[in-house]
Amino acid sequence: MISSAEAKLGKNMAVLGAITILITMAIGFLGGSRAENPQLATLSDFVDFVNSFTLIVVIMYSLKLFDLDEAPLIKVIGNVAIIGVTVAMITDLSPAFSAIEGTGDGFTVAQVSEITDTVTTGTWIVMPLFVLLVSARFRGDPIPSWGAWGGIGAGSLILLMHVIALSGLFPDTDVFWPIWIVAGAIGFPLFAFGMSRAFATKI
Amino acid sequence: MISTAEARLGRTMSLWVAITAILGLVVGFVLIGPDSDGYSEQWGLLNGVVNFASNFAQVAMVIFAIKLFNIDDNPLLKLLSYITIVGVSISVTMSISPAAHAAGGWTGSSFSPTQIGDIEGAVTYGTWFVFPVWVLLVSLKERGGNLLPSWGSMAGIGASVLILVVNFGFLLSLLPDTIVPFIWIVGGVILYPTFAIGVSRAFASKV
Repeated sequence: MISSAEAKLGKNMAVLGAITILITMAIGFLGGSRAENPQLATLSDFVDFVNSFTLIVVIMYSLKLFDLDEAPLIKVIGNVAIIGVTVAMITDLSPAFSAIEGTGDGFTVAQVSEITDTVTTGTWIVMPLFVLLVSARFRGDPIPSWGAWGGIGAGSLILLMHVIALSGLFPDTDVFWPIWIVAGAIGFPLFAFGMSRAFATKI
Repeated sequence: MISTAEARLGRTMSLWVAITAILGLVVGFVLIGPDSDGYSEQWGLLNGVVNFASNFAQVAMVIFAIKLFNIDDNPLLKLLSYITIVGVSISVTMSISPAAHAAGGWTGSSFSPTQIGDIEGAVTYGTWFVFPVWVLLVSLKERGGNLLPSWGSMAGIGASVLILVVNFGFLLSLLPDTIVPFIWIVGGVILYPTFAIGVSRAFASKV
């Protein structure tokens, strides 16, 4: 049973998660590469760090919010997602750190960035799958219908994006932008606000 | 107390562990070939998907085994269970990375898919020490045959001892590379899947 304090934290973190994903999207549009705008890249890494933290809290407490003893598959996916997003969080600032003089020169900043992506590739398959399954199962109660539809849309689109990318059908990454905008700027924030409302029912 | 739904999923996932172990051999040993060095352009994606499914099934098996075997009452085994869950979950998140890199376009080009595979191996190396110890301790704890069939516990003891001995043998450069196919077949395709099928039977007793 989720406590009132946990539900309150879950509610606040879900809202913060929605805000930080929107900031990440905005920074993505504003800034060029890390070489062109290093300060903005560092800011983006920091926002990603905060966003990952909020995701961990939301998933962790959603496992208590929903009775998952009868939905064990979602429980397993949620646990893997918590670990995956935690790894993402602890590596989010690594490229920014490696850009600082005197922090080792074994790898370039681009290589460090690729290593962090390597460590978390599957996280961005498992996490959208969790969002999709939770949204589909708890649509209407306790997640508001609009939030659940946001989650179903975002989860499906991100999974579709992975299938397209892995299949190598569209090597041009420009094809991902529309998907990423709909999923990241509309679907996921809707889901996060919906989760916030779901947590609020337990305060 | 494990719920019926959890036991049912645990049973299915344990069977999936056995199936993907054998599939992994088919992909790695038959399709890619034991002499192949590095990422296979032709079979790399299939290999990644099989590893992803295998690792995910193993995480599920360990998570529900904690409830099934009352591991909460055994602090060392409980600790090893949590470390195993974290280690194998990280393997889940990295299984597809070489294939994603090979697909190109969005993952950068600083490293080759083979190097990405090596990074994956480096990050998760210790997991394959901890997990066999978990299998060994669970098999020893359950060798009475109450939940885990005795053939399952014997297979678990054999597989884990073999993997641990080989891991240390390679670390100390005491074993030749030619022994790998033998270990893979005996430990990974006969003994470990037999253990997983035994765990599946144990879960089935709670459905």
